[in-house]
Amino acid sequence: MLEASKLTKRYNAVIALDALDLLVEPGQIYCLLGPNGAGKTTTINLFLGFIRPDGGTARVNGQDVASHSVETKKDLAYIPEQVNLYRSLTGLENLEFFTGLAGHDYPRDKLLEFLLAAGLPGGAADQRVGAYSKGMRQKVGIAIALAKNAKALLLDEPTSGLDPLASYEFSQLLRQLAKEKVAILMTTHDLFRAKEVGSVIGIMRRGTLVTTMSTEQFSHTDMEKIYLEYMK
Amino acid sequence: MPRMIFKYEMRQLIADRMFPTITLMVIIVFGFGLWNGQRWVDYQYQVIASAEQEQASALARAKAQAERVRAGMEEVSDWQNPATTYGFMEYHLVSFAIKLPAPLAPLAVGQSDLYPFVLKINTEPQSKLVSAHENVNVRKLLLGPFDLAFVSIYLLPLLIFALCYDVVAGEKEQGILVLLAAQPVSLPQLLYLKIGFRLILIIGILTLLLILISGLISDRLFEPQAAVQLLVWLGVVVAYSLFWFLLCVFIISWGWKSATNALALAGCWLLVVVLVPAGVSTWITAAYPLPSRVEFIKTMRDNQENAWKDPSQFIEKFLIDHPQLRPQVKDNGSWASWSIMNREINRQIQVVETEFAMQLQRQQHFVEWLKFLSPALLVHSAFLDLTGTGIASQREFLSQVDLYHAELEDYFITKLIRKEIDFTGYDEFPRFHYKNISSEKLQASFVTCAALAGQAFVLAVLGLPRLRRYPIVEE
Amino acid sequence: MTRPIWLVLVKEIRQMRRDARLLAAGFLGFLLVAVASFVGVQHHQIVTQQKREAAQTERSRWLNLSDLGPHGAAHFGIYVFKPETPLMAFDPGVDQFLGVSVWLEAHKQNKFIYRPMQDAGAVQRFFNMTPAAIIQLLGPLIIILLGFNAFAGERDQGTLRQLLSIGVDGRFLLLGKAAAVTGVLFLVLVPAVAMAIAAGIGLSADVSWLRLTLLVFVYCLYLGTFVGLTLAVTARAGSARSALAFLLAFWVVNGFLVPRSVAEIADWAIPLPSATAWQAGMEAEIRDGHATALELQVKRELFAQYGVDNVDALPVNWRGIMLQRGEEQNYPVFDAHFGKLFDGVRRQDIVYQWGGLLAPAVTIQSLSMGLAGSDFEHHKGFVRAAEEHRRVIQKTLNEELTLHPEKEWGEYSAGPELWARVPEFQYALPDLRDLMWHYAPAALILLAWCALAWVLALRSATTLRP
Repeated sequence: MLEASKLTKRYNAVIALDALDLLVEPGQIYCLLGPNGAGKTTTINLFLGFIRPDGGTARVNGQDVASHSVETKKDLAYIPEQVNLYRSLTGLENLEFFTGLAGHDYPRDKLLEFLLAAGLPGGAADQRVGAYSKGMRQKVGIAIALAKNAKALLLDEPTSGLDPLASYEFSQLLRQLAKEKVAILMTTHDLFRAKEVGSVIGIMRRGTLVTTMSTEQFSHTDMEKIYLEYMK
Repeated sequence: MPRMIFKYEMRQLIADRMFPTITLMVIIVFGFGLWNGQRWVDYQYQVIASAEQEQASALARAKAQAERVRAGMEEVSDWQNPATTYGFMEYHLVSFAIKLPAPLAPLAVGQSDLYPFVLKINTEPQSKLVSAHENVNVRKLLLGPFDLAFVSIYLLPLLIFALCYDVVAGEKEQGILVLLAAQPVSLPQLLYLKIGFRLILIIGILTLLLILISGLISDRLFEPQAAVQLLVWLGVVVAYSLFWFLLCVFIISWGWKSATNALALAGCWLLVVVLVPAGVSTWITAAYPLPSRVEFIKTMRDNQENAWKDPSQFIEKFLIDHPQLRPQVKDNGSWASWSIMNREINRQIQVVETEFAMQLQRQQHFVEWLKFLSPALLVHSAFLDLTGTGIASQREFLSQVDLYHAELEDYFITKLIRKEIDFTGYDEFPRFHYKNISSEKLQASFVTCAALAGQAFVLAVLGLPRLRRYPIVEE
Repeated sequence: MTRPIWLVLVKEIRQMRRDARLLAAGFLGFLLVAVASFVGVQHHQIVTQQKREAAQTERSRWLNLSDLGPHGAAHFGIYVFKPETPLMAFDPGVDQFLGVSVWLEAHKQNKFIYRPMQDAGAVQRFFNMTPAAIIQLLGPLIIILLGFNAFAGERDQGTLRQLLSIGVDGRFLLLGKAAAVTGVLFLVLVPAVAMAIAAGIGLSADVSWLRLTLLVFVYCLYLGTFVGLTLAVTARAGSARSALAFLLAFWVVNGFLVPRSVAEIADWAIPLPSATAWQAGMEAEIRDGHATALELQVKRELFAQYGVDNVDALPVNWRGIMLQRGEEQNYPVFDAHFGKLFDGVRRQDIVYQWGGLLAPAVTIQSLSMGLAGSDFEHHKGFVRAAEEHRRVIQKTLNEELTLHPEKEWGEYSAGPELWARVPEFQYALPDLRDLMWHYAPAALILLAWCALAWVLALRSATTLRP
């Protein structure tokens, strides 16, 4: 469960996030939509504790991120827009390292299973990441998230730069995770993808959540209209 | 978790060829440094052996000639006659005061290439000894030796920088940091584990080196305290490394780019090993100028001129100090009065020399405090203490030489005054025995270790709060 | 044609001026050179004054010597002091490691005594802050700081792509950037050094303008080498970070690793005789000037020459002749042994100069000392001059003694008019031409470095990758 209350962040005089209230329940896929600079990535960074809030709290499973930054990360998985890994290590080694940091000690078979589940082609696991494409690195990132067995998942523009097939597979995977009661918060520019996988869509503008809607209640065209309305 | 981090740090260092490169460089520079140090020690032993040889053969020659003279087979003028006390003392006496290299001498040439370690002692003025020195190319003296001390003080920090400058900063540049920071590990912990791994690596290399050194000096390892000194040496190097590692942590904590880190570290290095020592040295020279040797020569010459004008005053002075010898000197022996005059001139010069040395010592006392301004100076002075190649050890040697010189003079002059003209004491006149007391001065090295650890601790304390707020993403 | 160069220059200077870190580094550099120059000149002034006074005192001591036998005076002797050259304020070289004075006495050529560094402590030796050392070490560092970003930084930012798409000739870029780096460097170095040199020249009028000009020239070559190398590296490097890493590594190798290594290698390749062995070897060959054998031989020859059979009947003083002959028979021994030692040092210095192939710092160190007159070659010249003077003293005194036949030793007492006949010791710097051959390797290697650096820089600039 991810929860923000009155979450505020300023960069000098600029307000990046203005008293944001947000709740992502287990099993929910919450998509944040909005133009560049709306505060989507700031929200994610605050949940990760990468930056400190100037007001309000971000909670993961009820624990305050600011005061329990290490504990809350045990329940969190994160896939950045660009997944960057140690180029001199193989995909499998990267996976073992990151999950090891998270306190898991998986055997090789299990690690390979995660990579397979994330969609990495079988032979690639033992190649150095330096030779990977962006999509392949993304899949290792997904495998890390899967292996972590987290209760909440943060995604920053996860499908940008993926080809349509990969995007589709990724969506399937998210639905699977949601079924397993993982709370998912993702930012995206892609209204259609959001409608397809998300359960709730929040539209952000200048640091505030201007509206939220349930994807079941609106059609694609309705949503686009609403989005454009708020951006005026 | 430390196990996991260490395992992958090792893998990465090997994979990007950092580890093999650094190991190779360490082997080359440490090996070359040790080779040079050992070469210098070998050279010293070679010189010592030839001096001992010279001493023995001079004595043998004198004995043989005395024998021939006594047997009436050879005629020789009085002042060259080895069978007489005066002749032997003035013409045949060869006695070397030898400072043996300390057990750890191969680890640092220190100041030993500047100071004499073999001194030819006779009854000539010992003031001459002060400026005795070995034939070493002055350019080499200016540049300094490429020994293990140089490697440890100058190059070891650079190797540490090469290992550390892009820790975390490099990961941030490659975009890996966000993924790392999303794991349930605090960044300070992660950084300290990564740095700690590198520290262990360096300590491992140093320990291997220690074993190598132990092998090299194995014949002297069991001398009192030699093994302890070696361990203290390792302690000093480790404390010095710790200082540089924590400096890396401190620099990294600012959250700069790795190129900026490299520049900042290079700047700190320049400050610690070049600029602060240069500043200290310049400050000392300006604030506590060395007494001038040129002035010293003037004073010495004044004394000499004075003596030449009226030699009898010296004999009178000597007799005031030694009234019991007056009757014997009275019925003279010009050899005795010549010797007494020389001895008194020497004594006067020695007074000036002692005054000069005191002035020097005052200056050095002040320097003792200034060395705390730079870890490099601290370590350097600890190395000099441990290897017996510093000014303290040299001063100790020279004071032993002074005592010996006086002893030798007393031996011969008493004989001359007592008119013991025939000389037979070829095997009984005093010989020099060097007592190495530098091994008893370990406290200074412990103070150095403590001071370095203290400086490192301050860096760690200063770095930690900023490290907690390390900018994982640019704000 | 030159307009692109000018534009680049203006842009670079503008960027440097806005970089606070560079300004701080530049200011620190200026401060260091200024302090080093100030301290150098001060020290030079004091020492020059002391030596001049001491030399005058020695001279008047000699002239006012009481009535004494000539040989007694020869034993009293004279101390001569090595004068400081004005350029030593800039580069004292190995001067601190050489004795300040030598005692010219009868019978033997003494060694120089009292090396200042032997009295000083370990700290003073750690790094002696002289203007020359600061420029040799920190000059390249300032160039690297100013220049490592020149091309690689623009490549990182993507502005290089922009520049090349406009169609600017890479060589113009190179020259503009080189001009900017050089300009700033000169701004840092020139005022401080100029002040020092002016002060040094103010001290004594006898500064050699030729030496000064050559000194400035070799430093320009040295620093120019680093400007070329820095730009060549930054033009080829993949990123500013790798350019910096490479250049800093080269800086350490150049300033610290190579000079010491080469000095060690030279020491290993050409061992010098140990002081004790050298002294013993010389003493074994020196024949005693008072030896009974010599006395008998001289007397025999004189009796034959003048047809007499006892010393009282000789028209000359046999002691004077014996002493002079005793001196002369040892001249070749001194020349050979000192020569052997000096030759070893000279050969080591040649090896050292060839070490310049590994790093330009080695060449500039040699050339700078040589031109400033603070190297071992000049010291050697002074040692020879002092020994020549000693021989003049001995000859003057012994000939005087010869003219005064006496029955017993030491009865003849000479006075001030004889002491005044011994000329005052004069020493002039050796001609530069004599040194040129000695330093030819260093000079050629430095030229080669500079040429290589600029060929590399120009080639890199013409084949710039975006």
